[in-house]
Amino acid sequence: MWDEVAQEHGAFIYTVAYRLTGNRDDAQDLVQEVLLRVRRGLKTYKPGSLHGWLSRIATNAFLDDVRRKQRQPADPLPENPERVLPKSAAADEALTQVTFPEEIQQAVTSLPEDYRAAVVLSDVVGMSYQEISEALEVPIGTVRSRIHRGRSQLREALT
Amino acid sequence: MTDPTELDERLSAYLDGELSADEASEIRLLLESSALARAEFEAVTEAREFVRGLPLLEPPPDVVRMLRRGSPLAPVRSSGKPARTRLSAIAISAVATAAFWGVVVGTTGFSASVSSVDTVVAAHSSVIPTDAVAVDSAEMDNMPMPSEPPGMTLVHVERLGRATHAMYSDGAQQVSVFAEPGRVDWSAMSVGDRVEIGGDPGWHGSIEGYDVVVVQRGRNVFTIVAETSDEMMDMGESMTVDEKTSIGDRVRDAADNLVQTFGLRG
Repeated sequence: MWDEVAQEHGAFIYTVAYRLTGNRDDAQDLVQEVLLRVRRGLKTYKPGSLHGWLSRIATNAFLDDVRRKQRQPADPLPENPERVLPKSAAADEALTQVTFPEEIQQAVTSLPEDYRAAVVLSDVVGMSYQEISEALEVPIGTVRSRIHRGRSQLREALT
Repeated sequence: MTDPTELDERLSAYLDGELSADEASEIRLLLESSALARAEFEAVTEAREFVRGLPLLEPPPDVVRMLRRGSPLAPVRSSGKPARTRLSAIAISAVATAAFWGVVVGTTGFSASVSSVDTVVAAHSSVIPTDAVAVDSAEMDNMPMPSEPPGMTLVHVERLGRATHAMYSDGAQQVSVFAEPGRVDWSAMSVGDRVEIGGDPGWHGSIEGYDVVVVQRGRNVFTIVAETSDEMMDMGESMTVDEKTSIGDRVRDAADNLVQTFGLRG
């Protein structure tokens, strides 16, 4: 039966893991952790978005690991206005950039983990803010902040 | 709307259709009147589309193999050092409740496994924690590493409070060893047989088709559990649960739930 799981959802699980971690080895470790959690969480799974469920598991496993490694709270929301409102690249300048997936992934990986998780859940998985709020167990306002600031930093990194 | 931070965050939320009608109207008016806001909006839009345009990735063979087995115990990475991840709920519960399930090392009968069990117990005697205080998982990097049983590779090690948990794989079978200070309540082992392993008292039994071994060596308890994912899932599919009190029950129920939910066949 796991053949079917691998075939139907393997690429998705791995992609989410890779987008969150930014490298193959860490993505593999994260998939491993996801499998552990899937096996213990199947009983609580309610029919719905399987991809959403898997994404929540992957993201929380990722953040748990980050926090464990850091032994301290994740990077708080920046108070420096320069981080919040970076100088805007002219729209035409930004739009003329030729950007490869590797560069985008590198920019994603450079984001603070909390921002990265919110951006990946929003723009890779396609979750709503409400769903992200529930997945990350943070208020919607925090989701809004993290997504926007993540995108702002992405734009900075890519232009 | 004088707070630029609030403005910025509203632009992304507007882009995602996550604002109320009133808030969206405010942003539309702003975009009509402010070139700076329009530039910001376009830049945020671009960043979003960049990420959305990232391709779906094909998992590498190691990950595919791991997914097909439905097992977290992937082969050790070529980089050498085993990955250390948190203990699974199964393992945590096993330690916490002393409810053991699995398949004893080896498949040729218990008598043939005694020496292997003894070897495993000996290998883990040195890693028993001496304190009774729960250890933060971040501290596990400093814990001693047990030596590997013959033919098996350590793929996962964890410490949880007073217990040490190590997982091994020979590529086909996975074995977990739980080692913790304490005394076995033999009277609770109502099924199975009392056995002797390396001169120490032990227990060997079959729970729902799975063999289990518990050994009391000195002041420590060793539990050796092996599993094959497909077998576990097959069991989960075929058995009926009346009382969900054991780890085996919960795993089985979870497997059954998987089959029913996704329409999968074992």
